[in-house]
Amino acid sequence: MKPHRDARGVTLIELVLAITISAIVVSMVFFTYISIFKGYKSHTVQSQHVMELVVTRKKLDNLFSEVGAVETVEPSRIVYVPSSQASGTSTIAWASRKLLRGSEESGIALKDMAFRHQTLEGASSGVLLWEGHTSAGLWVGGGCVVKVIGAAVGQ
Amino acid sequence: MTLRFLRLCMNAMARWTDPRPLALSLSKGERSPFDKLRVSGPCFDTSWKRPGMRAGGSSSKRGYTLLEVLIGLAIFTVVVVPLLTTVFDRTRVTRSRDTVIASCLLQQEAAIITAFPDQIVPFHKRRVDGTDWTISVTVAGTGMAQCILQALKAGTAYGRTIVYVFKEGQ
Repeated sequence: MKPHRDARGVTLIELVLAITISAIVVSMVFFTYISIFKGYKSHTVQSQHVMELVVTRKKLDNLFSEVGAVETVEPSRIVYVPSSQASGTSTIAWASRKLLRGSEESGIALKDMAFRHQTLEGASSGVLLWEGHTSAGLWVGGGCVVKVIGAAVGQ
Repeated sequence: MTLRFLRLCMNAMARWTDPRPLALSLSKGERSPFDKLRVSGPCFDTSWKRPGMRAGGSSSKRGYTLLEVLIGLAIFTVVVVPLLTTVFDRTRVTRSRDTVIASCLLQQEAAIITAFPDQIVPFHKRRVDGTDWTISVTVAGTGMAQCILQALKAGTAYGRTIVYVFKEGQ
């Protein structure tokens, strides 16, 4: 009697191969989706950091736009005459991871912040530069042209 | 390799869904070297032949059925599309961050050029958080000269601004 081939089933090697291949494929897909999910989460966090960077930059621009003339520039503090006032000084200082305008908080949280000033000897104007890192660690900076009052020259 | 694997998968799937009876894989009297290992279970045919195929014809010559193509496309879409989406999204976020950094750098350079128009240098480097940026300045015209500033990272421009300064002797 002839053996009925249709009922011969699968060989052990075929079974092992099929399980191995399907395990590889399934694990690849699984880990791919896990990494996609993690990537999506980190991408969302990064987007928030970029948004924070944009907002911080805008706030800094607004804050420094009121600087009319600088009197003293130190790495963590500037004394300036506001452009809206003819006389009287105010300060912007970085302390305790925050930027302070006078004695009030400006609402800008920063990891670090440094001020620089460039001017030429005897010039009546110079450049006030600032740079720091947002609380997420992204670099932010800017600069503006300012008038100079005595003490700031050469710093 | 991947194509070969996909093709095998599609063939296998097509075989599962093929309503026609399975063909004998071995010719009369031929024995597979694995026959001793056979276990009972559902019937599979390890050859890729189907009834109706010409004798000696290979599976590579019969083409794909619509079902095979659809399954192949579905697998491809499920695996590749989310991957591409993630990659593009990440690139977009990085580009946004670099654009903001470039605008900050350009703001500083624009202020320096405005204050010191006689000290303009065509190129100079800035290092921000371990990344090298190049600031290029192109001056055009005399008197009220136009300065075009560009912030470049790895040869790609991320920002551009124009400053007008009074510059003598151009």
